[in-house]
Amino acid sequence: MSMLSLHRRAALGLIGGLAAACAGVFASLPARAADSTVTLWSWRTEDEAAMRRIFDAFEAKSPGIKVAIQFTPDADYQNRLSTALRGGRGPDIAQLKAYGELQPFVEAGYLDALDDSVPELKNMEDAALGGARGRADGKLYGVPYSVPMMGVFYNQDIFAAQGIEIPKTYKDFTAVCEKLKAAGITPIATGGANGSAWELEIAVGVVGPTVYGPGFYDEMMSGKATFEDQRYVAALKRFAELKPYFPDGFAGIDYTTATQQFIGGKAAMFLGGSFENGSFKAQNPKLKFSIFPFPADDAGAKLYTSAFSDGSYGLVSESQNKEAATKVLGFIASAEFAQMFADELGWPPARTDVTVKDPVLASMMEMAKNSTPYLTLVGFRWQSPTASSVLQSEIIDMVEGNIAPEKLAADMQAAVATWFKPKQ
Amino acid sequence: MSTLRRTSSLRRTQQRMAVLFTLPALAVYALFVLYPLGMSLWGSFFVWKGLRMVEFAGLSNFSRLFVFPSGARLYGALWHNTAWFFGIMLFQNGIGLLFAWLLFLRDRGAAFFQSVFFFPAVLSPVIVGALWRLLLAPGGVVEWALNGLGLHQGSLTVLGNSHTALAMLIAVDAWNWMGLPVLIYTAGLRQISGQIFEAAKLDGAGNARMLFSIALPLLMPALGTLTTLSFINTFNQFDIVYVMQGVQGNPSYSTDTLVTYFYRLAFGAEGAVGITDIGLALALGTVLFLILSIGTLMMLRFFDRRTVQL
Repeated sequence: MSMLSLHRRAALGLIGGLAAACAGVFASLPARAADSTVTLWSWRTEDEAAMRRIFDAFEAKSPGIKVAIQFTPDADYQNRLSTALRGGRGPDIAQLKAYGELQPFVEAGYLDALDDSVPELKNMEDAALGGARGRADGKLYGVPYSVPMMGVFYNQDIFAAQGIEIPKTYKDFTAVCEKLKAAGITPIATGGANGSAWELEIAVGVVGPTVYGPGFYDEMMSGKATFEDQRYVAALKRFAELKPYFPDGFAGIDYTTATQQFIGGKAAMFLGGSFENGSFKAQNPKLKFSIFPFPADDAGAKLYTSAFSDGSYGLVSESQNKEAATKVLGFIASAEFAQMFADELGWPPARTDVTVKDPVLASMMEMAKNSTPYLTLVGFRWQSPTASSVLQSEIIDMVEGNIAPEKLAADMQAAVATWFKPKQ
Repeated sequence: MSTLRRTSSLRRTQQRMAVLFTLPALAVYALFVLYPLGMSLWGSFFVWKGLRMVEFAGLSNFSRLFVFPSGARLYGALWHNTAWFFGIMLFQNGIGLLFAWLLFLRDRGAAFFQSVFFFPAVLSPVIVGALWRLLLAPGGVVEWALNGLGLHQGSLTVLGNSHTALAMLIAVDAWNWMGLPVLIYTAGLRQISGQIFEAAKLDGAGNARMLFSIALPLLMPALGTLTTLSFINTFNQFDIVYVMQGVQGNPSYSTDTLVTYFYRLAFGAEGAVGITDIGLALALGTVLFLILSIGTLMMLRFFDRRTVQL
């Protein structure tokens, strides 16, 4: 409540209200020294070294083209990119979020469609391309790089020490959890306190498809089913049922703490997305882990997992350097890039014609064969309020028993019903 | 006649000079306060796509603000800000007054205690939030202490509980700025002539009677300042929620405030829900501006009338 704070808050308010209006001023200038330098913006600061190595390989065989990568932390990235694009000071190539978060850039006309200029896009599957499509015209505005999916990461040493096999059914799974609990090991590390509830949404993405099945996404899209459908409610219930196997004090544990419990070997399993592969390895190279799909009730059932397009690289319309930039995008769409991406980062690449060396990645790509779109992201993150925002807010209360799964499902449905029009 | 004319021309020159000297300040004020304010008011009448104003929308942003689904968030946030304000009045300014009174009664060591109370105010709310987030986490120091004292059992999840999270944040905010009311009230008490208290004591008034019947009415300007400042600050509350609970004001929006809601509309939420609605955000900004200006004006008038002159 000091004057300092008052001023700062006033400034915050002003920036808040007005960043939009006078945004271009704040944008920083990318270097555009020579025509052959293609600037590329990314939010994946953690992948900086790997991306540099990938583009060094590209530069070595493309004389005259240099790729200058600039990283902005994820939390500030969308703002920085939109202010820069609005001020006409964007990069040549921008890393783009997928699905709903891509649309404002397309609608505002900041990006070029790539359907004709990047022919390699035809070699990618729709699971990858869906996230880069403009909603109004169906054209592709980015070259996707990864199709992450979700599953149960598990500590192989703990499983071996306890004599535990990968569970085949949901009943086996709870039996495994009971056994781990009896041995004093937290069965499943998860947490979404302090603004990290997105991790809990991902955990629902792990459990969900095994309950509501692979066809549910299409039924939702066509309006035959809603979030209030018994199958979706049952998926939420199943997630809440796992609470006894979550860490002690689950409601107060955040994502970082939960990952540390898994990485540190205190917890045996972690419900997460493919992108954890590289980060787990980087944080604890000694950790022996792999991934399996969350089991269904029936032992013979095909196990489905949620998959989505993580993002893409798009061509900025105002780029002065489109020819070179298009070549870079062609490289990002190539099998060579996909191979390097898989080797360097360990996430499933957008193209499936790669040779996989990392066993965890191999398991993930095997799982991805039976995938269904990550419902809340692919289907319902197009306009505010998103299904995700409601899910992320209320899910801790649901797991804690303060909110019924039916109520959470009804709230999600009511929120998306304000804008979602089913395609008949 | 001529002298008169000379003085009046001198005065006119002086006036002109005065205007000239205030121009730089006015220009800065216009550029950084009036222009952005005007732009955001203007922008609230438009439909926005991405960061572009696409078409004039009249009052539709405002009407959208008050109905489902935005209305629920707006009224929720408004209620949380109001609760926050009363919480601060009670726990920060109320307890602050008590501390100031105790320090005033017992002069020795007052300066030391004042700095002790003021110490957290030196820290940024972001640091304070991060600190208390760690202290209040399961397995944290507070849990350990409460369990040790036998006041609590098991792990402490007050920040993950939608019934207790808001109260915790208010308490942290009150702790953060406790020193300010102590400082202002002590200064106010020192300004009151000692003879008044002596006279009251001779008339047989106790410490409590002196505080409520004599000191408090005379502290009205200080109380007015603190109430108005607290009002402005609580209705702009953002940083502590952002650091401790994220911009969704989780769990279940139980710690959502008007500014975190504004932030989500203008910049998108955490966890890759980056969909913005800038038109709605600017409409909310305008409503917040009205609440703050009208509220502040009313408070200033209220306390102005109740100021006791001796």
